[in-house]
Amino acid sequence: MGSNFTDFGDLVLLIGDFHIPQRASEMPSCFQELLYPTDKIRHVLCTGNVGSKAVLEQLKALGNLHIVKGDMDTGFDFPETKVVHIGDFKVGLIHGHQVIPWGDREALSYWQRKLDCDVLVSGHTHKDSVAEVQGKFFINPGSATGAFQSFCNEVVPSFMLMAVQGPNIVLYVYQEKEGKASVVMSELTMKRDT
Amino acid sequence: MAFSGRAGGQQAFPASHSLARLQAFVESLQAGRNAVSSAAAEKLEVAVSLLTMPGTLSLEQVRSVCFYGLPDVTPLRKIYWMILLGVLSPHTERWPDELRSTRDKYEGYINDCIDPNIMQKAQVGGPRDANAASAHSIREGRASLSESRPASDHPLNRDRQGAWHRLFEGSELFGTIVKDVSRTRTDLAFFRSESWSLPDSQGSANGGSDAAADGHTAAGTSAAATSNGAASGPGPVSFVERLTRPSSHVDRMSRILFVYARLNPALGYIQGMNELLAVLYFVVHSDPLAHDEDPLLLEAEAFFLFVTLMVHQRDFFLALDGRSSATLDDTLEQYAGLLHQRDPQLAQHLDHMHIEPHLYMLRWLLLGFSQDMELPNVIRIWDTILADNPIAIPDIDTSLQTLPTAFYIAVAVLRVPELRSQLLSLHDREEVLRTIQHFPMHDIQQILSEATQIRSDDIVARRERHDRRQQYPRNLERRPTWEKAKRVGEKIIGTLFRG
Repeated sequence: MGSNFTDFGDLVLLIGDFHIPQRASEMPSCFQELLYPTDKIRHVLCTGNVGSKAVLEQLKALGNLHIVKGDMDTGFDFPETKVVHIGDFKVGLIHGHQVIPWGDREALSYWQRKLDCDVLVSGHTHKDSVAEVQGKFFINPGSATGAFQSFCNEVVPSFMLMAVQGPNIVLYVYQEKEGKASVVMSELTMKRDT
Repeated sequence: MAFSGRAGGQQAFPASHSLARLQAFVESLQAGRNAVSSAAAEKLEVAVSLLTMPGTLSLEQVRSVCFYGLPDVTPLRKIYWMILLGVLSPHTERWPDELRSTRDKYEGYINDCIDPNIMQKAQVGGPRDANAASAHSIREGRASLSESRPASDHPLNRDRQGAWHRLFEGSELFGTIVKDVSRTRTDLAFFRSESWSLPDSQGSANGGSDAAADGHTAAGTSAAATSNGAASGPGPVSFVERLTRPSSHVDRMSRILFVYARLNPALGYIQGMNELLAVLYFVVHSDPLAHDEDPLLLEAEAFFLFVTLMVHQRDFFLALDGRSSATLDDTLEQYAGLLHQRDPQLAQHLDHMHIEPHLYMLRWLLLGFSQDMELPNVIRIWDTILADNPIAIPDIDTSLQTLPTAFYIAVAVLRVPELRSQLLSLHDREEVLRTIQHFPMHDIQQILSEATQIRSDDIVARRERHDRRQQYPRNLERRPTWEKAKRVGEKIIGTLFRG
C-alpha cells in the first residue's frame, strides 16, 4: 500500500496448518482467488505446518511474515513462539501442539500469561475459533487447506483477517463452504487501562 | 458603474467578496486616491473599466487586454482567467449566480467522490446490535467480543463497488496526490504553510463555512474519531478526515485533484497536474483579502479553472501516456516547420542531433512552462497563453489558424541568444536536451515580445499561403500528385534495374 493513513489500520492475515503436499494439494481455489494477488496485507501471522518451501515463499510475498514452528515443520528454522505488536495489541503466536490438552482453554491461558500478550493466536486443532476469556482474546484461524487431522471428523478450510486500529479489531473469518468463501465478522475491543 | 448594483439587491455580493472589492477599488481609482505610476495606472484602468462596462463583455477585448499581461492587482487576474477559460460567462450580471453555482456544484462533487462514512460502511456486516454492546463496554473500559455475523463486505472483496475496495483505492490515490502536492513550489511560503489560516482570526469563519459545507460529514468523522479513541492528535491521520476537513492549502489542492481524478477515471491523476493547479490555486488565493472569503468558494474557483484548463491540456497528458493524438502530432510538425523557417541553422543542428520537438516541447506544453520559471513569470506567460486560445477562436480555414501561443514562445525561448549559442556549441544529444530543459528563463518580457513577433509573422505567412492557394488551386493540387507519381516511377525503375 502506497500510503500510511489510519483509516483502516493494519490488515493482518492469520493463517496456518497447510500441510502441503503431505495432507492437502492446495488451498481451496476460492481462497486463492482472494489472496493472490493482493497488496493490502501488512502482516502475515502463520501458525506453522506449512509443509513445503513453496508455501513459505507464497506467504512471504503477501506481507511481513511472522511464523512459528509446527510439529511437522522439520527442516525449517522457525521459532517456537513469537510476540508481535500491532496497533495497541500485543499478539502472541504459537502453533499449538505444545498446548496440552490441545486447544484447552486453561492450557492456552497458561501460554497467554507466559507470552504476556493480549491476543493469543494458535492453530493445530484445524478448527477455527475466537473467544474472550478474562479480557484476553484467543484466536485460532483453523487450517487453510482443511487438511486431515486425526482427532477431527470434518475439517472446514479457513483463515482469518484482522483490521487492527488502535484498541479495536474487526475480525473476518473466511470459511470454504461448497466451493465458495463465506465470511463472518466480529469486533474485538481491548480493555482500557485506567 | 458598479456591477453589484446592476445585479440587484438580492444578488449583491457580501462586502468581502472579490467582485465587491474590485468595485470598491475602481471607485477609489476614479477618486484618484491610488498612487500608481502613470503607465501602470493606464493599464489598470483599461483592465478594470473593461470589466465594469455595462452589458455583455467583448471576449475579443478581454483577450487582448490579457494577452499583453494583466496588472498585478488582485483579484483582477482571477476574474480575467475565469472569463477566458469560460468559468464565468461574458454576462457580468450573471456572475453572482454563476459563482454560487460553481460552489454548489463543487460541493456536490465532493459529496459524490468522498464518502465520509466509508470506514463505517466497510465494517458494517449484518445487524449492528452487537456493536451497541461493544460501545457499552468501551465506556466501561472492559474488553469485549461481539457476536459474529455475516459480513456483506470484507477487505479482500474484489467488487469495485464494495466499501473496502473504494477505501483502498481512495487512500492510494490520495496518498499519491498528497506526496506530489506537498512537494510543489515549496520555495514559496504560501505552499509551505501548514494551516489554512491564521489560528485565531480565522477559526470561527473557516470552521463555520466548512461545517455548513460538509454537514453530516463532520459529525460522521468526529464520531469515528472518538469511538476508536484515536483523537486528532499529531502523527498519521485519516485520509477521509483530511478530505472532508482540509486544514491546509496542501489538503485543499489535494482535494481538488482527488475530485478531478475521481470524476475523470479515464485520465485519473497524472504527475504534472499538481504543477498546473498550483499556478491557478495561487492566482485565486493571492488576494491579500482572500482569507475573508468562503474558503470553499475559492477552492471551487480553483477547481473549475483547473477543469477548464485540463480540457486543453488533456491531449498533452494523454501523449505523455503514449496516447498521442493526430492533432498534437500535426501541430508539432507545423512547429518544426516554423522553427526551420525562423532559424534554419538551429533547426538543422537539432535535427542533426535527432532532437525531435516532442522531446522538449511536451513538457513545456504540458506544464505551461511552470517548472522553468519563477511563479510571477509563469503567471505573466499564462496571461498570454490563456488569452490566445486557438480553440476558442472558431476559424473556417484551419490553415489560417495559428499555432497555440506556447509554440511561438518555445521558438522564442530557443532564440534567446545565450541558449542558442550554447546549443549550437554542443554536439552531444543528451547534453543538448539537458541544456534546453534546464535553461533558466529570466527575461520573460524579451521572450514574449519575440514570441509575439514570430506569431504575427506567421499569421502573415499563413495568409499569403492561403491567398496563393485560392489563386492557383489546380496547380497546387496537381503538383504533389505528379511528384508522387514520379517518385513511385523511379522506385519501380530502380528495382527493375537492380533485379
